[in-house]
Amino acid sequence: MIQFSKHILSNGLRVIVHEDHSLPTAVLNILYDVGARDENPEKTGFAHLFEHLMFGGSINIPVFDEPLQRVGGVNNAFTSNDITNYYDQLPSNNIETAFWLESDRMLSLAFSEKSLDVQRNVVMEEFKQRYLNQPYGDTQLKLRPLVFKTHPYRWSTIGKELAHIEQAEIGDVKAFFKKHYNPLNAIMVIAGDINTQNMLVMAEKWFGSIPSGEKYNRHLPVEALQSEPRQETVHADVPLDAIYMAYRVVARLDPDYYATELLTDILSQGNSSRLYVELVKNKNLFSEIHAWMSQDLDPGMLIVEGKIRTGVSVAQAEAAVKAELQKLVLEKPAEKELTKVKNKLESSMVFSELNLLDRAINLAYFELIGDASLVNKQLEKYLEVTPEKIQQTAASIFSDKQCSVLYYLKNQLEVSDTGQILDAPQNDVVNV
Amino acid sequence: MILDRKISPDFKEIAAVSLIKPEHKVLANGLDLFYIASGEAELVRVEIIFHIDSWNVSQPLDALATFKLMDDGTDKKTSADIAGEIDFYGSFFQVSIQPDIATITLYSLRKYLEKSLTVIHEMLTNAIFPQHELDTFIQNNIQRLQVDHQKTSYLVNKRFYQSIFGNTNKYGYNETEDDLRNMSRAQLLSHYATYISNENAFILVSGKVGVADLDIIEKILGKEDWRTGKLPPVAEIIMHPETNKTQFISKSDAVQSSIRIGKTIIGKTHPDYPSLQVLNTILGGYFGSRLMANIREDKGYTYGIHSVLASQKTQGFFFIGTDVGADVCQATVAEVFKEIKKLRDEPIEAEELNLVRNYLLGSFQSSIENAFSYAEKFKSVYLYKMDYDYYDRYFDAVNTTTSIRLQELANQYLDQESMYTVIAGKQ
Repeated sequence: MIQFSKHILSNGLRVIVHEDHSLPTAVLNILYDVGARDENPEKTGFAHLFEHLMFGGSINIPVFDEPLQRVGGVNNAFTSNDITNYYDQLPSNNIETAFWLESDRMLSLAFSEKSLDVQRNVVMEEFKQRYLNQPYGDTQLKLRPLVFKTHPYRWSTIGKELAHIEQAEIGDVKAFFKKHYNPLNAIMVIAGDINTQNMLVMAEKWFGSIPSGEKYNRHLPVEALQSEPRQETVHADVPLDAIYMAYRVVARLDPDYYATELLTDILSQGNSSRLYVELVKNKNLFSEIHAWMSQDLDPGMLIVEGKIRTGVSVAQAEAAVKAELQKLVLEKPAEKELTKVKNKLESSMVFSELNLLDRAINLAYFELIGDASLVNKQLEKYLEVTPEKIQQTAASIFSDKQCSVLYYLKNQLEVSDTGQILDAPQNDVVNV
Repeated sequence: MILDRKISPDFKEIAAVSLIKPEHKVLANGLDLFYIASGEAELVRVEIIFHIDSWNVSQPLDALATFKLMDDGTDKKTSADIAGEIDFYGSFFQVSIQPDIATITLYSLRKYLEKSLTVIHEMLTNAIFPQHELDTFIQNNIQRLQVDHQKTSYLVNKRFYQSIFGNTNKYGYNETEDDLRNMSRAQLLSHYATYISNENAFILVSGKVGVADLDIIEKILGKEDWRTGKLPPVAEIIMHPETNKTQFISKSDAVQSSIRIGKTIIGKTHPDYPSLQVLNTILGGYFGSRLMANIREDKGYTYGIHSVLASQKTQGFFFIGTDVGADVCQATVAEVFKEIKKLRDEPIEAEELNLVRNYLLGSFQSSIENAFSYAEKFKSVYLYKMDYDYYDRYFDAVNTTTSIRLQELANQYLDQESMYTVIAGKQ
């Protein structure tokens, strides 16, 4: 159970305070309700590029990091398809420095050309490091546009292509800030060895005078249901054949979300999971296999991905995966198997509350999706799921006509002389 | 009063952190048990830590494979049985291998500690290394190795360690597919029977550890010897650094090059080490470092560049690491050496040094996050046969090392001639 209190400033900034005096540390976390899904399709990668720019100096403070380091603070940030989140952790008696820094960059950035030039290059190197300079690195860039045709999840947080980042201009950056970075679109959490009343006074002092800005109302295209199987094949200079199978799943707030997560756990959580035991250990069809959910706020993906064993045909490997998925469509799991994944999940929740920072981020996230108090109501939702529900969920997800498959195969590729990627996105939560 | 946003708020000195030290008990079978009771969550972590004192070049993967395959079957349970049981209790089990130690870690809710630990004990005493599990392990790791060999970051890392330590010891050896293929079940059984012994291990427990938990641990792990037989003498470690200090691994389709520049250096027990850590931080140990400020924030050559100072049991090593655009590889190398030279030639100014002092004090404080953090701090000294006064010396170094002293250290330890430069990608 996480104890906290919630307040709203007159400019609309939501403020949540969680006291914990066991260590002399405090966290200030600010979540902005903007992610890659909110970008202009011709200017993707902006939310993430912008996250970098937030460290390039604000209107009154030329450098962000140094004043924080000077008082013993550490900080970082991450961007996803749905949110951008910033956090500072420091000795609790110096918490006001974090208020000063965060409020100034919410008020206004310095918007320097030099900062934009440098961060453009930094982000391009990040693009290369994560997605281009690794075998299978660009998988998500190719998979997303296969799965999503209209919804912005069709591009990745890093951006659809390098060119969008290369062409970003200071005017675009200013417009993005104005639209998304204001008190109405933000949630602040202060957690740790602090006093609630003092924090509210500090919040009012530093953030109270920031103009509320305009509320950003999201109107994103709804992705139509998939009604035909889709596939794409990539040949590259990789040592092994790999397969990525994406199925469409429900949004985070859908009541079926919990069953979907437990279904994914039955398939792939730990060394006793179905896909690992059957396909890696017993049948030696894959050298590694993993199923995971994108856990998006809008309807997202459940992906089964694996590296196929040399000598096994892609068709055989794919058929074996589908056969495993079908088992859960045809027969509900045993109580014991479901209890196993629930026990594992319960432990994970205990873990998730160990660190102050994790608690602060979770409070902000649940406030965003409806109410911070939801953070204490998750376990019961998982425990309610029945074996029948797992089977129903499997039946609704695992059909061929809702499946998009990317075959990433080894073969000599005619490499273009720039080694350039020709299209499409990825996701991943990316850090500064 | 109008708020002046240009003025930073007052701030206070960062308080010293008090570390909770473990209690110690010797169990009936001679095992050292250390435990740190802290925190409210009903969770316990049990670490069984083995010293890796054997290694030979003709069977380089024996220790790794023995530890990794221990959970793949006992005389009574299959791999899936064992995994299913641990998972059913909601426990987490992992094995990590480093050159000097192997750690078996169990995270368990207290209510399932006895059941989870029983499974661990079975692995320690009755593992049988089924042939088909070994075959699967070999094939899957061959595939993993093939993928790793496509990554410039993997290639540069392996070659760097090989260069500074040599291919003749566990620190620098580069595993091959043949090493994997040559493994036999007999070898693993022999290694298991010899080295998985309570004589070269100790136990570290942290979390909400109570008397009942200690009784369980004692009963299951501490009553009997896990093996009979004597441990062989500790093998000698033969260092054989490469003579060629510039190494290049070509990867023609790389869009980035991975760079490692570094050397062997004093170990953690050396009196200069804490001050050297301060120097390392300034050079490349935090986001505002000289390397980051130049190569990332000024030139945009990379997403990240950092320097590392670390220590094996007897010997330390230092390196600067980064992945940069292939076209700016040589420029980056030049800038790295420029930055090191600056540390040798120019004393650090007071403002920067004060910032780094506070940053180090604050980040140490932030590193204490939960009960397990205290266990980490214990291992950080115990594994080097040091005591907690190491932290006194560390804080002393952070608070008092002068610019002049740092400049001396840079000249003594960060000379260009002794550095190895290893690049994978395009030059």
